Amino acid sequence: MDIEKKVGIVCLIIGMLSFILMFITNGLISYLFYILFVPNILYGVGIFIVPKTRRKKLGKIPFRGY
Amino acid sequence: MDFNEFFYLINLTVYAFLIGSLLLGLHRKIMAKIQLRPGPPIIQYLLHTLKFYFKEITFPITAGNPLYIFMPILQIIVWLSALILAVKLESSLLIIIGLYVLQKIVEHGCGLSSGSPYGKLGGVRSVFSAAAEIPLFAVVSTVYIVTNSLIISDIVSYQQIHGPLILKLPISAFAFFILLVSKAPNSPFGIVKGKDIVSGYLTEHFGLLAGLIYIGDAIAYFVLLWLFIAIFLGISNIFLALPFMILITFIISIINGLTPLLAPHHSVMLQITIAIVVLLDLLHRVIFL
Repeated sequence: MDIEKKVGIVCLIIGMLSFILMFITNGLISYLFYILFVPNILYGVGIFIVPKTRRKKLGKIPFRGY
Repeated sequence: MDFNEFFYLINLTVYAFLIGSLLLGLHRKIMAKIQLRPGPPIIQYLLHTLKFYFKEITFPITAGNPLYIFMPILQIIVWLSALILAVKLESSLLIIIGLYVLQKIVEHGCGLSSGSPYGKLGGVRSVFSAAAEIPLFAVVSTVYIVTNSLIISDIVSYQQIHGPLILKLPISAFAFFILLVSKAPNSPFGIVKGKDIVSGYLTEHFGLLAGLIYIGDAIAYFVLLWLFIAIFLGISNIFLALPFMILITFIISIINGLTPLLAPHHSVMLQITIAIVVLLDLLHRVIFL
């Protein structure tokens, strides 16, 4: 598994934990969990629906002398 | 938090994102019309965001993880916090300005974590464009001197009794407006994302990560416009503020369409000059009023 997907799994776990904790807690803390929930779920879901990269040399993006 | 509040927050977030994206699209359309081009459709920013969200991604070999991935997430965290603190809770202005300063960490972190020279230049420029924050704190102080409060709901209710603050504090309103101009794309103060350094700190955040940064930028634009309207016009309702947001975007587009990108030192010096003018206004109010 590449690093992008690994980070995606971590983000999904953080996002789901935040989702649960958001409903358990009250007040400002619950807003904090909402703020953590949205971007982590966006990345976590997004990374599993984007197509696999077709680049042959992973990580070597253009214009940098590769 | 119960489900009703959760759905309210989701609605607010989606509303802010959609309105921010459409206003940024409108901004681009008006700029194109000024430059006698047909320009892209108004929904172009939204389409770009969706397009990038579904694009393949590979982390550059020179990227410094986990900072590289954390920065787009932090961008959304910063502006969602600002959205909830400002629009939902109508909390302290000082916290929101503090969050605005956190945006510099995002720009700096994005630039330096990618390992690209263009990104690094963008990051370095974002540090010395921090001069834009000096007028902001002067604006906050001036608003406090007049209204005796930094809580947004208090400032709005003050204006319901005494009339809009833009008439009492035109210089502060101008300084805040310059901040809005500097935050808009293709701005004369936009040295951080200037085309002379490709896309500045965004150069090597592409694909899904660019999509996340675009979402954050759209929410940021909405929050800053709302803040201007709430502080200086006294309208805190997100639906009533909409015509004013369109009007301000129209004015910003005309300025950005007609003004070339300033050199970094000119941009910083101009912002420092504006800061000095606002500080003199503040000094005048402290001593004589």
